[in-house]
Amino acid sequence: MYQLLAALIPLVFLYAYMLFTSIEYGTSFFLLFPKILRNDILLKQAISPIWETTNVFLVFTIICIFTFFPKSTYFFGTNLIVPLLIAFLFLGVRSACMLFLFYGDMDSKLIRIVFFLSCFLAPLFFSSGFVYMITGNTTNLFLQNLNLPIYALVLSNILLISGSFYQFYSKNKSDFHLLRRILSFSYVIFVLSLILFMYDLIHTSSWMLLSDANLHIYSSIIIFLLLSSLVFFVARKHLLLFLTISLLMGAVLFFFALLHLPYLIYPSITIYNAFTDLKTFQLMLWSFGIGMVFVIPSLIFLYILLLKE
Amino acid sequence: MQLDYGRTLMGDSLGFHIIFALLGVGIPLLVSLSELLGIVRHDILYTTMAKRWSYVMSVLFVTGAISGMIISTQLSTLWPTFMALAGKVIGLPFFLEGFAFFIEAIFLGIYLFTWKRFKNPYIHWLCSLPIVLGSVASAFFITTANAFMNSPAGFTYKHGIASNIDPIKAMFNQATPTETTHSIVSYYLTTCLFFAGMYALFLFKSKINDKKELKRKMYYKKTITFLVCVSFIFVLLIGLTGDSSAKYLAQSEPLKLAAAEGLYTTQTNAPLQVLGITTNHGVLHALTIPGLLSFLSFGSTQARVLGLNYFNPTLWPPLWIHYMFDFMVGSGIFITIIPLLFLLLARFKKAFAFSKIMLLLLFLSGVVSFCAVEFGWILTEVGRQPFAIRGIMTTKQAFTTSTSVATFGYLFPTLYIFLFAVTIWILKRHYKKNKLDL
Repeated sequence: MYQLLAALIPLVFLYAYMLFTSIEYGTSFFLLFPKILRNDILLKQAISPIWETTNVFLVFTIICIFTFFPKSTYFFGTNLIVPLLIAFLFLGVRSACMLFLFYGDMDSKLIRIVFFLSCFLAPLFFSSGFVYMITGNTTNLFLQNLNLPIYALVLSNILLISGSFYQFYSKNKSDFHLLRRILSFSYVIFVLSLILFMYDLIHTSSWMLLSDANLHIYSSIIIFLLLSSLVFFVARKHLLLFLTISLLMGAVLFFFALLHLPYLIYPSITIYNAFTDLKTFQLMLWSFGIGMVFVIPSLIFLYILLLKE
Repeated sequence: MQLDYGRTLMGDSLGFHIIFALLGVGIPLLVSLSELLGIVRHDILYTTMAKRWSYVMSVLFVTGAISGMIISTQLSTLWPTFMALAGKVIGLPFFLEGFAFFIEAIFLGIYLFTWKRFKNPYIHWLCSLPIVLGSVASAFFITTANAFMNSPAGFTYKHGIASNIDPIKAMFNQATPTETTHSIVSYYLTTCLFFAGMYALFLFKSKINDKKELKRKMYYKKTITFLVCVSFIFVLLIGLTGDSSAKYLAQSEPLKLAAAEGLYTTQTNAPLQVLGITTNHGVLHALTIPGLLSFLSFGSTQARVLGLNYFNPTLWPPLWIHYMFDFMVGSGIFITIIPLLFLLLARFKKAFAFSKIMLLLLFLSGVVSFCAVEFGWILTEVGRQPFAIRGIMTTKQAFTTSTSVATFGYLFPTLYIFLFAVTIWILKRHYKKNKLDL
């Protein structure tokens, strides 16, 4: 029971990170079209450094994994050293670009391109962590069968979330043409990569799909969310579209996590054998509860102040 | 060889991160203090300080956050065996640090964007308190984890498995009280002196005497006085915490103390040795003060202090940490004298307080205080070698078995230097554009 809770907490943080950071990363893409998307200032405002709070979610995900499942740290740390360090290298470059673009008033095409590249390459390198968790294969982390659909899923996820967010946020009709083209393109990529991902899973890690009796429930929820988001897309309900897409991404993440349980890293590390000392965990759970009492109201306060701006 | 690369990589990263982190802890206090002074005294100059410094705070938060994130990943990728044990025993402060950082990040956003939002200025000032508390709490929690490495507690370790874990005991180990207070006070002191040094440099450079520049000079003088007054409080505190750190070392880490002091033979009335040449048989040609080490360690010149010969030579740390100790204490003495001198001059000989020499000395003390922090950090980390967790796990055991470390030995220091340069460049550019206008 405790172990499931311990798995759920970093997952929630990861979802929050995915959601907020997709908006940020997507911005780097839209910033490449300053002529078409004329509300440059709006984009910058949305990504203004206040959004750096989102980094906290990633820090939390990492902290939770290594404090709740210390034994897994050894395996993650040893085998993911290359992708993680490269990803952080890109995050470092990204921060430098943010300083240039948003603090230094130093705007040039080159910096925008570097910003875009670092924003889109960092999550790709992070995503090889998923491949490692699913296959446990350490020899080729970047070019296995599973990598391609996961890369595509990550990229389409970024574009879908950020595109729908800006459609809701901008209210500037002249931008819609481009945004809707990007959105429909990423819809196609998303669906195709999801299908490809399932196909690859059947071939490489069929245990994930066979072990869970609720598979049909999961897939029907995903299909339902996908269809309803399409309806909102066509009907131009911008806020509802953003919300359903967020839910859809959440559903995909959570269902694949559920299918993957009890393994953290297949086949050796499970949430049970890597679990920390029970007393430590209970203390952390208490502090988590107490911390949230402070964090959630202040987060709400922050976003209220921000959106009213 | 791999281990050397790994240690260099970690050392470089931490050496840079310390600078970001230190200012990240120190600046919020200065901003909060000056804003409060501005409100209480109805003095627009203090409010201006708070406003101008909060920009530095926000830029450093961006770089500090990313460098902190790189550190946390490096910890788990370079030292997986260490982190597997640490996560189990000392995971709690890491977890709590996350929350402190979270609160700090949220209120930083609120603080920066709500200068004109509230009618009552105290509400805006109140928003600075979570940043101050959050940054201190972060520093406290992370330092407890380092204290745990120096003085492990709260678990039994047999055959590579930790049992009987008591996370609270691990967090509040013997090294915690002295190490956390000494480092947090030194961060505050360094930030104050660094800022004072910067303004001293501005004042030193300012030559033109038009009306605007005169106003600016007045602002600089006020800022320097304010900062040196605050730093004097921390100078007193750093003396106290430094003294208790020495007493803690004598009690719990006698080997580190012996190496730091270059004391070879166990003796009563042990002398304090300054500089000299370290050899495997003690320090040669040093300036010795008989009995002072015994007195500083145990409060009595007759106390017996353990020397290096008491311990197994294979467990000795590198003996050059003796110089680090001397440099740290030397810098400490320097940054005690200069603020004191300034305050005395400001009180009794006002004309000399802002003389060119005094301004230069103030600037130097800002630089020296940074060096003191780095020396102290090297002393405590290298002084613990060959162990990562003293007496439990050697640095070699803690290190990764992965062979791809060497590739990154060059990349990350480069990235840090780049980030550093960008930060300074951005700050310079911003303040050049937004010149102080009073």
